[in-house]
Amino acid sequence: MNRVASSAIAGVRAAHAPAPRIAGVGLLTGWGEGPAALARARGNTPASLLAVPTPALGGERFRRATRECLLAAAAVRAATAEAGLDETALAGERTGMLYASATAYAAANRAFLEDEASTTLHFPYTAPSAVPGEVTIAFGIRGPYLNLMGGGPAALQALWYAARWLAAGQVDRVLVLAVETVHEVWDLFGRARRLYRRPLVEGAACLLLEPGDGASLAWASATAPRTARPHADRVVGAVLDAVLGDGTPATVARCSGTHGFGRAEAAALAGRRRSPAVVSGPGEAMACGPLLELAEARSRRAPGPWLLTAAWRNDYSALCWPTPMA
Amino acid sequence: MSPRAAEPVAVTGAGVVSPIGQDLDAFWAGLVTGVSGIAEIERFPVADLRVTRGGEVKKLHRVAELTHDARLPACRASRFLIHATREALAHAGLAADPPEPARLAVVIGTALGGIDDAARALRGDGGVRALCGSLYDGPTWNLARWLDTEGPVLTVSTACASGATSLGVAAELIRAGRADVAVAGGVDVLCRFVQRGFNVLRSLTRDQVRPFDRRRSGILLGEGAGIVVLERAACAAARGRAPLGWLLGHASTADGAHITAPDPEGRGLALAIRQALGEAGLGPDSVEFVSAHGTGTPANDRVETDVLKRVLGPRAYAVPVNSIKAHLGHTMGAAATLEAIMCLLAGRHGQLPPTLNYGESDPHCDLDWVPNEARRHRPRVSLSTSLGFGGCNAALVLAAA
Repeated sequence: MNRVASSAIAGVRAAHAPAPRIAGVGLLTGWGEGPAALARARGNTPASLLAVPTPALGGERFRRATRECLLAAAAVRAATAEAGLDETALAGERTGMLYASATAYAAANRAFLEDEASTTLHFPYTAPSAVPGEVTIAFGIRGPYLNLMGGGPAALQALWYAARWLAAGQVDRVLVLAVETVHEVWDLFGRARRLYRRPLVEGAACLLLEPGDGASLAWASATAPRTARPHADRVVGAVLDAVLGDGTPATVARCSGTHGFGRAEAAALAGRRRSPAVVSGPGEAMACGPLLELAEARSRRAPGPWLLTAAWRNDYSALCWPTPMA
Repeated sequence: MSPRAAEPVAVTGAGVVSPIGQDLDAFWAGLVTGVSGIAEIERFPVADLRVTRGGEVKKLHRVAELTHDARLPACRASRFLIHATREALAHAGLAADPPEPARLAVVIGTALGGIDDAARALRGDGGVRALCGSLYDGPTWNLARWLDTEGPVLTVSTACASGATSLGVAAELIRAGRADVAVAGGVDVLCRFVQRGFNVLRSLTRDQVRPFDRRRSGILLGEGAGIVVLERAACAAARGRAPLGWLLGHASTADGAHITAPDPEGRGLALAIRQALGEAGLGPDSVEFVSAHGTGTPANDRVETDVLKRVLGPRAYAVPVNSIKAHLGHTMGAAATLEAIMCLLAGRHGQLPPTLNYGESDPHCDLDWVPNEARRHRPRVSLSTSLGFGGCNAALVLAAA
C-alpha cells in the first residue's frame, strides 16, 4: 500500500463505535422519494437547483410549521413506517434525536429579516432547533438530543454520535435527520456556486438506527488551511489512513464536497492496494448526502465496508461503515 | 465517583467577553459585586420596539491590537470568539506553546450564528464571503482559521442551551481520542434581528430581570462569548498545568413539548440532569451548587424550581442556586458557557455570585437563590442547567480543582 503518510498531517486519529443497524429510511429529495430516486439521478445532466416539493401534512400540529419542519416530519414518518414501527414507539426518553443541516433556517431567517411586520408565529422558526423541535413535539421524543450545523461532515458526525449513544445503552433507537432547503435563498446561494458541486439538491433524509451486531465504524476528520492541493492531499491522506488503516473499502461514496478534496481523494485512493468502486453523489445534498448514500447502499444490499466521505468548507471527513448494510 | 463514570476532562483555561467585563477578572468582579451590564441599546435602532434595553458589549477592548491581524473577520460574533479564545489560551498556558494543530478541536455553540453577516448578504454587501459568514457555522470557521487548527471543527445549535452542549460535545471528542485539546464554548451577538424577535414574542420585560422573584416578568437579552480550553487530564498533567476545574458530565435532551415554552413538567430537563450526573458517576447528593438557567420568565423559573426539587429531593432546599441573567442579560448561545465558567470560578474563589434584583419570594419558587449579595461558599461539585427554543435542555456537572 502506498500511504501518503509522508506528506499527511500527523495526529489525525479515528474514533470507533459499534455500527448501528439501519432499521428504517425516509428520504424526500429534489430527485424524488426513496433511495431509488438517487440511483436514477446518477449520470443525469445536472441542473442548478433541485427543489423538493413541500409535503402535505395535515393537522393542527403542523399549521404553523415551516417547509423545512414539514419535510423533517415527513422524512421521520417515512423512516418509522419503513421500520415497521408504530409512530408512538418513538415517544419518550429512549429515542434519541440527532439533527444536521447547513441551510434549513436560511429561508425563515430571511423572511424575518426582510419583513418588519413578522408576527410572533414566525420568529421561533428562525432557530435551526425549530426543525428537530417540531419533530420531537410531533412524535413525543424526549431522549438525548444534538443539532450539528454544517454540510456532509455534520451528518457523519451525527452518525458517529448515534453509534456512541446506542453503544452506551443511553437509547433504544436514534433518529439521524438532515434537512436542506435553499429555494427561498437561491439568489444568494446561486452566487456561491463555485463552492459546491452542481446541482444543489434540497431534501430531508432520516435514518432510524438501532443497536447493530458489534462490528465497528470509524470516523475521522481534519481541517485544511486551504482546499486546493497540496493542502487537500495532506488532509485527505491523513483522514483516510486514520479510518481505513491498511484496509481498502469495497465502495467509496463521495457524498458532498469541493473539487479540491475530490481530486486529492481520488489520488489517495489510487495509491491503495486495491481500487475500490467509487460512487459520487449526483449533486450537492449537503448534510443529507451521507444519509442518502447509506440508504441507497442498504437498499441494494451493497457489500461493505463502505467509506463515506464528505467535505464542507475546509473540513474533510470520512466514516467507514462495516458490513452488513441490511 | 462510580466506576461507570466517564473520564473527567480538565478545564485548563477560560476566556470571556461579556457586558460586565472582557476578561476573567473583570467578569468575576462584576458578578460578585452585583454589577449589571443592562443599559439602553446603542448599536442598532430600537426606538420602535417595546423594550430598548439589553446587555450590550459597548466597546470590544483590545480590538486595536487584534486588527493588525489579517485574519481578523469583520463579523462581530467572530471577534467575540477570537477575543475570548486569546484569553482562554493564555490562561491555559497555550498561547506561546500551542497544541499540535491536528489534535486541536474547535466546538462552538450558537443560537444565532452569523446573523450579522446574513443581513449584509441580503443587502448585497460582502459577496460570497458574507454568505459563507452568514451561515450558522460561519463564526466557528472564522475562529478555526484564526487558530490554524487542523483538527475537528464542529458547530452546535441547541438554541440557548448551545453553550453547554458544545462543552459536552468537545469533551466527547477528547474522550474518543479525536483531540487532545479543545477550544469550546458559545457565542451570540445582540442585534436587531433577535431583539425584534423577542419583542414580538412579548418575552422582554420593561422591568428589571428578576430571576425567581414573584414579580418576574420576562427576560432582557445580552451578548458575549465564553470559551474554555478542555484537555485530556494526562495532557494537562504532562504540561504541569493545574486545571481550573473539571468537566465531569454532560447531557442534552429534548422536551418534545412546545416550540418556545418549556415542558410544564420539565421531564426533558430532569432527564438531562440525571444523565449528566450519571456520566459524572455522581448522585444528586454530590451537588453543592446550582447555576440555573433562571431567565426570569414566569414559566422557566417555575419549571426549573420544580425539576430541582424533584431531582435533588429534600436537599434542594439546602443547595444554593443562582442565576446571573440579571447581570448579563440572556446571552443566548454564550450563556451556558459563561455560567459554567462562573461555577468554576466560584470553586476557585470560594464565593457564589448573587441572583440580582431579588426582593419578593414566590411561594412556588422557594429555594435558596443567593439573593442580591455574594456568599462565601466553595462548591466542589456544581450543576449548571440550560434550556432553549425547540425544547432543548442541557446539564453540565463541573468540579472545582
